Amino acid sequence: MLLALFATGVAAGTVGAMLGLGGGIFLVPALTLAFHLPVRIAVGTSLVSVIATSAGVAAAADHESGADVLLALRLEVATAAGAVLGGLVAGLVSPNALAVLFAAVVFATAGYTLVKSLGRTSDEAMYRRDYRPRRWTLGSATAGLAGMVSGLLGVGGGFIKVPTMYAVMGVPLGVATATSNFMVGITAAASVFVYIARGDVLPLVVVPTAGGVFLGAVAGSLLQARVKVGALRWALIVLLLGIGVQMLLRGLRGGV
Amino acid sequence: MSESVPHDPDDVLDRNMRRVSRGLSGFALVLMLVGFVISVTGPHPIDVHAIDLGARGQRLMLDGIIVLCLLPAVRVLTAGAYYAAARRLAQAVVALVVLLELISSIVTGG
Repeated sequence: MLLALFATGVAAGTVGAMLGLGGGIFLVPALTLAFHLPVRIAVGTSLVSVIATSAGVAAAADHESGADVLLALRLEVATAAGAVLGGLVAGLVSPNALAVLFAAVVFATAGYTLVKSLGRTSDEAMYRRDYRPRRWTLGSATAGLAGMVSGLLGVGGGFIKVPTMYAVMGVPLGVATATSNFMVGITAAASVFVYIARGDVLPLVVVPTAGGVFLGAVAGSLLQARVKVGALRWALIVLLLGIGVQMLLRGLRGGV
Repeated sequence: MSESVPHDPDDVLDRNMRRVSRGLSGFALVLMLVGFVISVTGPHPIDVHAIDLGARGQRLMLDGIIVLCLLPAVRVLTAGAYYAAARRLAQAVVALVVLLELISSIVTGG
């Protein structure tokens, strides 16, 4: 069981670090379905693991591949503002309608990323330092929407921040994933202490999982430098389409 | 916010962030590992001291988890201190807002 948790952590950390998602999106289903852990324990474990991914990516980073701290902080303010707005409109808007709306945004982001990728060269650099983020208004608005729906629908917004930074704001893909991992770490830290206080963070479950995630994140960061940007971009588009379909079905079936 | 911002051209902030991340996560991992080893390979449970040792191992693991979970806040604090020292006040305020938001979320339970 402990070795299986460790291996699951390594896999989630590797993929989470490479795609800038933190890894929680893979861990919660794995812990509940394969290890039969209660959802609260799985979420508590996942939150610590997301922070471990963020830490692993930061520890493995060098001058080229580090997060864009200022970009992360600015988008984090927009995300927090969106979360507050989400709290205010929670009683006014149907969560199912929001799920459909968010699915539309996810599909639009996937489509936009696809269209933008058509004009890119095959030797595009994963990391660069000479870029300047652009279209701040659109980028901040998307981050705000991600914050709004994350509170209302219980989904993390990492999967939409990476393509937004990359395709909309012109940030190199490797920097966008590192920046997103920094941001999801902050978001997870905001709620993990509630789970710790409630006793939903079980050390004997969390330590092997988060330890595996940390090592996986370091490996994922090193591996990312060897992967072609095009391959990572396609993985993101496929992931976005999958999440969009799932969100649309949840909204249409009224399961939110 | 339409202006463009250079991405830490002098590398000082990135270097500080790396140092903080490696130091704090390394310390957290050591605590977790020591606690884990004590819990899993401790004396046989029939030994009365094993209960104490087991609890101590769990405590060490939890301390390591808490140290790890404080890392994002420490990274934001590091960034804010850097911007304040470099007199980039607008950016220091952004870092301060994120830090306050994080602290208020922790205190009020998200």
